[in-house]
Amino acid sequence: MTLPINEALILSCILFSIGVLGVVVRRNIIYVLMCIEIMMNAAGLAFVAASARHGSLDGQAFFLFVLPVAAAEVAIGLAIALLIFQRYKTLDLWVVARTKEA
Amino acid sequence: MFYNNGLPALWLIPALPALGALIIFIFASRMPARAAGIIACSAISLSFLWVLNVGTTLVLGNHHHFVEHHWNWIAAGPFQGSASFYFDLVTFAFTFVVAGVGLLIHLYSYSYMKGDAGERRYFGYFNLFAAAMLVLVTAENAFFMFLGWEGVGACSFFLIGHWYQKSENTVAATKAFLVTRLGDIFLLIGLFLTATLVGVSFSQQSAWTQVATSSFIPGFGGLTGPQLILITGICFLLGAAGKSAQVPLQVWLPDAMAGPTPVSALIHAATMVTAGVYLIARFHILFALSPNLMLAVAIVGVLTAFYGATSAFVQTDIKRILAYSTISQIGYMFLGLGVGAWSLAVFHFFTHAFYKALLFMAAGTVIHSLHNEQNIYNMGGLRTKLKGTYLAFLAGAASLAGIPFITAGFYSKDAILWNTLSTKWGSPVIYGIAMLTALMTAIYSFRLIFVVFHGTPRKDIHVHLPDRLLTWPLYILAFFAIVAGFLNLPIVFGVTPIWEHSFARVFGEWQAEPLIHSHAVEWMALLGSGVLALGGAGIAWLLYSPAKAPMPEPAGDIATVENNTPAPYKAVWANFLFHGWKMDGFYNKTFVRGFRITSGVIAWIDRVFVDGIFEAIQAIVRGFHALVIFFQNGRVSRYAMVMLFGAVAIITILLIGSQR
Amino acid sequence: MAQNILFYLAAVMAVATTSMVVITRNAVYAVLYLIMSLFAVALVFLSLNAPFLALVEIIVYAGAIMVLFLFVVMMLNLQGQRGDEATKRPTRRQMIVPGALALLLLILIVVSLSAGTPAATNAALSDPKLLGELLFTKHYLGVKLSGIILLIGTIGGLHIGRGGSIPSTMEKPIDDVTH
Repeated sequence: MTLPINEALILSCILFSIGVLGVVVRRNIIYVLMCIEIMMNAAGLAFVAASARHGSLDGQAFFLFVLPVAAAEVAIGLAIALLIFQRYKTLDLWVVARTKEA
Repeated sequence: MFYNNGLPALWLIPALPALGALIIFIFASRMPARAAGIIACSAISLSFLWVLNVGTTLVLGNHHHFVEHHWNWIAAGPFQGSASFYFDLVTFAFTFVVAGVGLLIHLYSYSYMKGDAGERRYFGYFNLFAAAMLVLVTAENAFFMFLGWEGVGACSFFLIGHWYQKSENTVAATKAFLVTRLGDIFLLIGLFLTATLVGVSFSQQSAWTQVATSSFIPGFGGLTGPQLILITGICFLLGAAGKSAQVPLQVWLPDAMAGPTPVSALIHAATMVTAGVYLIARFHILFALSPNLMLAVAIVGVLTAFYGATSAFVQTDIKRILAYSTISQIGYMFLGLGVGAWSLAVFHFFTHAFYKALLFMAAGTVIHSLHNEQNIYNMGGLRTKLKGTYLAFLAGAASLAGIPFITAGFYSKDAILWNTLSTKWGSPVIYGIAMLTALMTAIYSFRLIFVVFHGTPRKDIHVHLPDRLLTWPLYILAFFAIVAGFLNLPIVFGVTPIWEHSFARVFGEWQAEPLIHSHAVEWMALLGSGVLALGGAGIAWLLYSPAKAPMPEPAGDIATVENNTPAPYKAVWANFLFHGWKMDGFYNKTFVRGFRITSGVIAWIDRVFVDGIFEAIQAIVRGFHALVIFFQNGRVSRYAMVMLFGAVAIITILLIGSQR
Repeated sequence: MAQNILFYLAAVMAVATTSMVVITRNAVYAVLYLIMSLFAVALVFLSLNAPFLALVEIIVYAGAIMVLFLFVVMMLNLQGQRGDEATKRPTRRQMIVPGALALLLLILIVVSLSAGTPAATNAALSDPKLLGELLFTKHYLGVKLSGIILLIGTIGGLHIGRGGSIPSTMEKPIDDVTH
């Protein structure tokens, strides 16, 4: 029985690229944050695939380290999003960039 | 900490007032205005007590000096300046005056500045000044002394401009600062030469004798030792002239009277302006090695004495009279230095500090009592109303005039005059001018007494009586202005001159010895200057006695900084003297205008060429800016895209690299 | 073989749902698509012999993190603002450069991965107990650091969330001290 390691790596690449694309093209901060999550998840997937390939559990352990990073990032990112919405009444990053603070 | 090997620590002397200033400045906005004065007075009085402690240890222990090393402050090749303190008899004389007279003026200020809007600032700077001045006179080397030197200059600037709301006061402050700064540049050059030739520590100064004998010194373009000594000495002389208001840098002192009167008393009469005397006394070996240099110092001294006396003769503002008189008296100190009578110059400083501070403070009391009236022709008849002040002022003026046998000023001035006649550096011509100046000094001193205190009041001004803090310091100073002279009775009295005898330990072989040993000649000189002083008083009585015809009532206002408009006298020569020999106008026409023209040319070059270069650079930068702004538009997605582009580029490069 | 079929199904589903996250206009749908994507990735983990991680993915990612997203989206009520730019889809012209770059990135990564040697071993370990032992022995420091990161995330979130009212007090002019 062979594990689909190469295929899993390619899948992780595809997911990562989609995430990057989302970060670049979306203007809503919530979407941007979600796309960052996608990128992190793709990286995690690559870790797990690498773990399977080398027959070592280290990769899986590192996936577990990706998790708290993602969680902390979401906590702070969403707090910032809320703050932005409070102050500018919008989540559009372009609009925020246009608005000069006094 | 307070005692090293049983000897009292020197650092406390300047540190106490510095601490006072620090406390006042930090907590200024949180303390009541009166508290600042109390803190300042306590700080300076503690410092004074410590000076007495150190001084008595020095004198009773028969030490030559104390040295106290703290840390290396500047260490760059030959420029070795350490934060160290030095205390010998000269230092004792200066610290005694700075802290002692300073204490009395602090107490006086406490009453004088009551209710002033800038009271806390005033006392903060006053304490800071005392600290800087004490650093100046207790420093062990010339670099550390320079710290104090600049510190007192800065404090002088702040205090002259204390009432900065009036623009002429700030102009006067700036003028004082700039003119002394001109001298400081020369002083710095002198210090650098000293540092390279012998080292800046005061204990190294005897090395000048080796410089004097060497015909070649490497690194100075073939200048010989004596030439270098002359250059260094001229630089020091100019530096001292700037600080001490000597010809040709004397123009700032009369205008510096714009500050509060206690400031004039402390800074511009008793202490800071005598820093030049201290400087030359400290470098006496350097000066004594060059007869030309000594002659230059003596000429500057006697010229300044004459200049000050003539100008004081016609002034109408009481403070300006005293300012010109200060210039004149410091001229006498320089004359003393110039004839090698180092200890007598310091002695004249010592007595002058008492009677001039006394005169200024008494003048301040008069001004205070007459609601800021400064024109002496609006005063008169104050003898009965301000009795104590009158007596104190009389003691000060008598000392200034040199009334024989009973005043300190007589003994200190006459000793300098005698040395001018009798030592190897002196000359009869200079002696003649100095005697003439002594006569004029007596005349203008008693002119003040007669016009201000005698006769009948010219203007009906309500006199409000000064409180105790405004008068008691005067009495103490009046006491010293009389008795301080007994420290150095002339040798012809058959007693040992204590002062000269003690200071011989400091100045040693460099002290000039009289070449004339005839007691008869010395008695004649002594009586001659005494007769001149009394004669001057008599002439003043003839000219200005209240019984005489009305005073030459001045028409104009008191002179301002620009000093062109008022012409109170009909005679041209009187107006010429009134404007301080029109030195301000002369400097305006030559230096100021010349500087303006030069700077105009330079400004044009700057605009066309220098700015041109920078505008070209600016255009290039703007071009890059336009490029960069594409990446910095504030949108997160643009940044993300740039990052993505970078990531792609890096991976491409890595791939290409791994293919090889 | 069954595992491979599972993998391909999951992979297709992951790509499709993830694409929908980027494309969709409704934020709630986007969150739900992302949750589906995460489920699909969890299936991929299963096929890679990592069942424990598959569960962790579902519980932590889909269960905890995405709920936080959903909570914020619902709170801000984004689908009510149809006209707002915030929910607009990017135009085609805006997609060209980033799309090309993303595609290039994908190609580059795939190329660089294929340059390596093929898989040597398939004996992946799937025992959570071993994973736990590994975590608390070899990667002990990493666990500590993760804890600190979470703590920082908590404190940071708290601080920023509270900070909405801070500027108004900060901007109050300080009275000049006048003598």
